[in-house]
Amino acid sequence: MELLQVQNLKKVYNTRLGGQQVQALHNVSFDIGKGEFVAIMGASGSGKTTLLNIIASLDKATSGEIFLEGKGLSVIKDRELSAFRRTNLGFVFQDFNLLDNFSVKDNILLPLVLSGEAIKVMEEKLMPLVKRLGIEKLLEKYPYEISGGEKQRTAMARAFITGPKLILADEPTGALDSKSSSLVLSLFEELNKNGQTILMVTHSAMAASYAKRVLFIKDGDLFSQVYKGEDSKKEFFDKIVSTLSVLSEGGADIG
Amino acid sequence: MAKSFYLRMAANNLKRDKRMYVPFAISYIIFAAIYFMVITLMTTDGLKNVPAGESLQSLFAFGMVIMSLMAVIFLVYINSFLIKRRKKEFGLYGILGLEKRHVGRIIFEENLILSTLSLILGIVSGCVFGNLIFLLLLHTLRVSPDSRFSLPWQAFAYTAVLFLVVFVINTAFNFIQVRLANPIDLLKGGNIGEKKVRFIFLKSIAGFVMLVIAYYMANTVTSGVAAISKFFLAVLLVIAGTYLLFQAGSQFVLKILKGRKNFYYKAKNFIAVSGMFQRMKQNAAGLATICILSTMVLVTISTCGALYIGQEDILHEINPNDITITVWRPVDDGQIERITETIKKEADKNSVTVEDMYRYRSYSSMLFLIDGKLYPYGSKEIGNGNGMSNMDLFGYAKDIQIIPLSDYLSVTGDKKSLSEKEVLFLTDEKTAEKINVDKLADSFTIKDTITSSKFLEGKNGKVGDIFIVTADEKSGEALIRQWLAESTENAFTNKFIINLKGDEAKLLDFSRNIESPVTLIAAENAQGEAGTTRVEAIYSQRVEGYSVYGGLLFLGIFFTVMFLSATVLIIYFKQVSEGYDDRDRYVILQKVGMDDIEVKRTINRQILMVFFLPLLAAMFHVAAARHMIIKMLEAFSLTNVTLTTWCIIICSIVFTLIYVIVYKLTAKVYYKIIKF
Repeated sequence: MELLQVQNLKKVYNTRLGGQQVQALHNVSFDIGKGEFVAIMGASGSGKTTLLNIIASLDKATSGEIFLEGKGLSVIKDRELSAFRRTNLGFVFQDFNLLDNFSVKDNILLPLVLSGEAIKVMEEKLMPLVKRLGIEKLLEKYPYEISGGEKQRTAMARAFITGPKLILADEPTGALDSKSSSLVLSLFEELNKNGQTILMVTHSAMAASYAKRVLFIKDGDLFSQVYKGEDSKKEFFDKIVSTLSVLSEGGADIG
Repeated sequence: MAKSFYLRMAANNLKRDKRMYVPFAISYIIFAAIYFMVITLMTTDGLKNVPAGESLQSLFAFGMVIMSLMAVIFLVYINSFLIKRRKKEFGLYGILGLEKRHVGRIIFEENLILSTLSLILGIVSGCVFGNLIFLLLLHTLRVSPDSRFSLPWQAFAYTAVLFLVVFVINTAFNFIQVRLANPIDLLKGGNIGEKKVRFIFLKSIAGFVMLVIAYYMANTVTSGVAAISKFFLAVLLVIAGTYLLFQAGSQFVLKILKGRKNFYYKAKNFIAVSGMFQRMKQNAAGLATICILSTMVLVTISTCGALYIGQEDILHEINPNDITITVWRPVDDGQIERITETIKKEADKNSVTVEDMYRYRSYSSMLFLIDGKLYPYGSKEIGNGNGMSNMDLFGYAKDIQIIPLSDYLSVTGDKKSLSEKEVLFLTDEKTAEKINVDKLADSFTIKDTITSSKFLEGKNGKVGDIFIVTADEKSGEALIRQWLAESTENAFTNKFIINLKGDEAKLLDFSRNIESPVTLIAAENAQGEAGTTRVEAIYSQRVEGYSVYGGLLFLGIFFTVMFLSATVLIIYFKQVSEGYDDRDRYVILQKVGMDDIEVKRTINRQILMVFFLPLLAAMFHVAAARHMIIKMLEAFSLTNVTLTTWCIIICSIVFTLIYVIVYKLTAKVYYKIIKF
């Protein structure tokens, strides 16, 4: 069975004034298998962040359903949602969302602490992960003392430490310079090789080229998708760019 | 056109940031109004014909000086707080192309609008409430309002000058703030505020030691004089200690908690400890200020309240009998006779009844009762060796009166005889129990100690003096020379003790009218020496006491209102800035997978802790200060410990209630901010 199934997802926003309706998602369906690394691309306003928020259970769909390992998200009670998110999903955000009052170490351990893990278990999980992400020397520092790339690697560690079924990344390189970006992305790639399923939303063709499959969204609908297959990263990048140019023929801005 | 641009910009800024500037303006108005009223009371002609009006007005003058200082410090502090918050906005102006001098101009105009409006409103409310306060004051002083209220020009002038000074300082500070930073720093403004606290351990220890010393000092003072002289030092120590403990002590404790992994890495403690760590780091100074101000409010109002309510106790303590007239020598028996007659005549003339009157010769001095032994002033034993300072010594001081046996017998009607080297002790039971000597100056034996006598039972209360009865004047003089080493020439005075009945106003008239005829008779022999008589009357002291202590109470209330509005404003600003910080934290915690309700509960708990910590600390300070306050009030002859304690307790309860209400009101703003 597929890990994540998105079926006929529709999202309509009501604007606060005038009751005008804005359709963010039309009718989106796709599946993601275990161990996949999928990127979702689209122009600003195409609905990709809405999609991610709904998958993350931060937002609710107007109609349609999402299944994680066959279980529908809409049947989960509100009270259990946080716990569900904590145990099944890991988040990496564009603006890191680290807490300034926690050290790097405590930021990473936060989800485990919330789940009530024993300190021994936490530390066992922590060390190999931070070594792999190259932030083992920063553990005692605070978020405002480290660089953007380091912050994002900390946020990644926080997302990965619970061993989530699915990692959701929202423009993870959006606030980083190119060097930090490629470091972060190759870490995503490496973690994916070890079996981690990742869903990433991005603007950047460069970032998307690290994925194995890219979905394109336009005006709330799935437009097309490309697979990396046996291509090299450069070839896959070219493929993505040419798809984007087709996508933008309607005049859409691809940023 | 350009001119109106700045003005409009400034007005818009104030309107936009009204969440911050309206409360600031309100406290500004309160400060101005109170200051205006104090000056009015200080200079108004209306108080000139109130008894003790002079001392009352100098009291207000003293209060005015302290108030000026407070107003300047506080308004400057709040302004700096508000301006530092807006660094980011100034950065934006810079990027939009406004030069620093333009930004400076805008802030200047803002400050101008704010200050002028507040000052005008303050003075207007000062005028409006001034008359009311004046009438209330007359009522408190228990004088009939025949005095007319007038608004003196000084009130306008002084208030304007003070707030002009505040305006100049604030403007200068704001200019420096804008000038010092460059646009990029300005843009980052909000985020650089992360200061590391250094020397946490040392500072914590220092703060703790300071508090312990201050608490120890407060609870070991033995006399009122010592309490008053040590009070200032204790206050400084408490202030410094509080700041250090809030700043470093909190970090120290939380660091220890963080170090205990099994405790720290539990869901509940994890968020709470880190949250507190952050909050204390940013708010330590503000919270310590709240704590100090709260303590000041409580100490001021309970002290002034106790003095005012304990008025009668004080009067009775000082005047166990209604009137004491002391006439110094030389006077002969004929004069004494005539004085007695005069007193009776005057009483008739003023239509008051003499309930009781007696006369005796007495020599007054002071002794120190330490560990059961009696030491005269300046004796070797208490001069050195026992490590007591002069001020501690006063806690052991006892007034004594040496009286000859014949006078004792004629007043009390007792039948006693004494040989030349024998004395009688007359004192209350408590003192009698403490005294553990049987010989004075090696040669005088104490024949008997009497604890119940007319001398000791005044009409209004017990007489606290020790009376030493000697065989006759000569024996008394011998005792004075040998024991007290004081001169005995004209040593004995004549004391007339008078207790009266009648109308309060008539009694007051009598107390005032009696001095000159008595002085006239007494001065006949004195070869022009002045000051040969002294009249101490409870009736005239009562009038003066109500003036002074009533005035003190008023001043206390004024100060309390100022302190309170300062405290409230700081709490409010803290809530608002906490709100903006917490908003981000709240969103992130939710995204990371923390329960919505749990997030709210955690933040709630922390906010409660942060805001009730200063109150708790203030309560500790006040509890520790209780002993010192009681001793200080003893210096004002208020020995009613129960009354003072109740005053402190009731003030604390009322203050806590106000604090809770203020917290609740300001918390509303906080929740409005974090809701999204």
